[in-house]
Amino acid sequence: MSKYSPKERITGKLVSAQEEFLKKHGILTGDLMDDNLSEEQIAGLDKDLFGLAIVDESEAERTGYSNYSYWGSTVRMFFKNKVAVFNLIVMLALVLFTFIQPHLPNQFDPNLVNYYDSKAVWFQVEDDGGYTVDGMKRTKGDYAVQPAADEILAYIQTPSSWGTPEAFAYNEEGEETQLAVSADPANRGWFYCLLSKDAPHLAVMSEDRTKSTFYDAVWLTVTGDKNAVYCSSVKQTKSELIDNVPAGKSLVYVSAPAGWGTPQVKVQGALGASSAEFIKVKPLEGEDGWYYGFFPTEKNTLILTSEDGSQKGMNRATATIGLPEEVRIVKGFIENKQPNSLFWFGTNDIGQDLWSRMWSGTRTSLFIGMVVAAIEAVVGILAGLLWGYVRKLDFLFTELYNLIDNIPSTIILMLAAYVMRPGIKTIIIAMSITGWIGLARFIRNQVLIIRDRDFNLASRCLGTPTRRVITRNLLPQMVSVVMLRMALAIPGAIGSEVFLAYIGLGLPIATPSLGNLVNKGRTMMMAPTLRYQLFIPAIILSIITICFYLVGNAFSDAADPKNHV
Amino acid sequence: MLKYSIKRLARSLITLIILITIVFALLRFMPEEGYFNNYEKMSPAQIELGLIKMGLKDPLYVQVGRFIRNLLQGDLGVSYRYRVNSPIARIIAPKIAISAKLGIICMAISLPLGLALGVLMARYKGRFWDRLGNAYIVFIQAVPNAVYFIFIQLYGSTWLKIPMLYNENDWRTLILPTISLALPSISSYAMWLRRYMVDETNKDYIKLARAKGVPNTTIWFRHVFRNAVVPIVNLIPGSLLMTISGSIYTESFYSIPGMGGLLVDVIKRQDNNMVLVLVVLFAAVGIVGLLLGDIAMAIVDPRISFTKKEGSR
Repeated sequence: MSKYSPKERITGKLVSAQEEFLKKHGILTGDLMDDNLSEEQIAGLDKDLFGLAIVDESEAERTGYSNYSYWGSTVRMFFKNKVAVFNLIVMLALVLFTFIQPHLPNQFDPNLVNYYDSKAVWFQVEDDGGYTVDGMKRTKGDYAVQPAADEILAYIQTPSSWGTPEAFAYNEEGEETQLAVSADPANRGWFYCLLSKDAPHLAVMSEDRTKSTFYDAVWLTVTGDKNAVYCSSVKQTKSELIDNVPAGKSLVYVSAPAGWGTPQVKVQGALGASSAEFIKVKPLEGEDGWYYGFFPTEKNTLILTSEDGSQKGMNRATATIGLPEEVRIVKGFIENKQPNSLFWFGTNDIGQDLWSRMWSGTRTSLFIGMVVAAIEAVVGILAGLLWGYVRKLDFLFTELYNLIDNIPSTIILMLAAYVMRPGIKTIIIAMSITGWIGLARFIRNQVLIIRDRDFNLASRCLGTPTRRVITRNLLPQMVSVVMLRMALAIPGAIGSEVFLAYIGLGLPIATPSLGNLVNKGRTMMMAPTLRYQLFIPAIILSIITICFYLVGNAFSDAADPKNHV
Repeated sequence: MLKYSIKRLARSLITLIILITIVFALLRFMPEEGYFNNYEKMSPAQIELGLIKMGLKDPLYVQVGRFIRNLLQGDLGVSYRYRVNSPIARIIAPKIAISAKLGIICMAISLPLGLALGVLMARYKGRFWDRLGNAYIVFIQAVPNAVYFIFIQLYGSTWLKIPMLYNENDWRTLILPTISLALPSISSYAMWLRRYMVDETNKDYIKLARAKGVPNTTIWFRHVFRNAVVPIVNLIPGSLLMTISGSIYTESFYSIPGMGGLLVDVIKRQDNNMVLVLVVLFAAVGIVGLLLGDIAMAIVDPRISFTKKEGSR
């Protein structure tokens, strides 16, 4: 070794420093470094030069082992995956929402069959005077007043530009009475009035009386390839009404398809064609396709033909001017209603609110999934550890595994679901019977493999406590797969639940679940207007299962020690 | 290998016997009316007599023994309720044919497509094809098949104007069921093949081959693919055999008279004899499929031999 090599120089420095120190304290009398001090030399050493060195185990561990934290690393890895984080947020939001939903205000009971109201009607007026009226309860809380036996409570909602509306009731003879309209304090924008059943024809006017739901005119429209004629007294033209109506005549507006030209209007009395006559119509200024004319009020059966007579209105229109539409109490279920402002997801075929059924079903399915996942994890891990550690049990478990693994799991599911009474408990048991053994086998294999791996052997030789071996060496290898299986058990359980519901061994209909809802929707799928009953549960179910699947996969990737650097 | 196969078959027989006993015991929990066609009209004495006549009052082991003896003689027994007193073999034979036909068509489509997709995804890992394939796989694996089967049926029949229900003489009616069945199996072939291939590419010998300068195509098809496909070959005989069990969803959605819904049907109608025969049949098919899979794997991969494996563990 050269005298100039760095190693030599450093050694030389250290030695000389030591020598210097020893000489200074008079320990070293010779000229060279000597470890082998004699008894006298030791006795001659100054006691103050030495202190007691205490081994601090926790301190030693802290400096001796790396300060790597498995869980910290797992979480860091997970949050690097943006897609998974997004899915986790969606998943948490959905799960949270299912549990919050029943406590929100104004929720329907999922099993409540909604009837049309027997005492009141809801009259919704649009800005142009068109309106809908039916018995679907749109106001919240109790009625503002209780209607008497011969009265109908009419709730009225008008656009804000209408001001406080005025309501007029007409009896069959056309006698008009103004009704007292008051605002409903509990529901903003709603007004109510009491309508006598003797005068059930209701018209609503705006505060300044420029707008109304009822006009002294008739609007006839011809639409469709079959030239169906519709007659309505809801104002359909934009301009003001023609006001110089001759006495004894009524105003009619006609709209015909483009190819018709000026429509020919024949009017006749209700009794026959003998008194038939043609009336003149003029184009309405500023409104394309609209014509107006006057017809004798008593000849109110109108027949429409095109200008050259080649096209004919399919049906005769009976133009009734005189009375607004009669308000009737509607009876029956609110069934198969499309999603609207009241039933956000619509109603099903017996009038149950799909919005609350949906979330109630999601709750049930998630509950089943989580319980099944938890049972699988607990039983699977325990059985797997027993299987791996206790040699005598190996044969028993292996046979059991062969047995369960050889039969398609749907058969076990079906038999179990059939033998027991339908219910959440049955479904949970049926699903748990098959699920745990796969996890147990995995744990057993891991235990067998990892127990005798080199790093484990080394740990044991170094005297690492068993607790530490388990938490630091064994568990991280398994967490990944246990978590994956738990996360996948939830979409799996939802799928099995859908399957059981489909074959008729699922939950009773009074317990809504995703499976029940999807199957109910499937029976409605051939009617295009009822497809929302299939789409809504199918979409929500897909979102939930995909979220769980992706989050489970991402977490298991993040928890896999092989992916940790 | 022959010795190994025989040994495994013998073990499977034990499993089957245990299975039969368990199912026998399970079916005993069901109400006895399942054995009679006109239970409501029978007097207790008649019921008792009928049960004795069918041998249901014998101890369990006698019944199991009798069932197995009949089974070995090729006698599957008769159906009590599903089709009164007709031999089970005659009921299920045509159904098996239909289910197997559908299943084999579906496999013939999904195997090449699935393998191709798997290779494509592994080859372009992390890029467009891989991501697209992954999205497809995640969707198919996560969403219960009932849900997308419903949509395939709905839009297949309304947009493509394909007749919805199965008709033996109209090949078009097979399109939608085949698509429904093929989608999940394509996704599972692609998923596993991709995983095995990616694992394989990380191995040292592949690195060596690359370092040697072996052309990329050779590496992918000679080394990676051939090694990665071995575990898939293991699955093929099993899935081929399991086609006879049919698919519950597809067959009932399109009213295909196959095996799919049969088990559900007979369980619901409490035709215990048929339940038993079907469970045994499916389990036996599963066991034989696993065995054939192992044998196929040994044929494809010369490194695998069962004789050595037996001694160690």
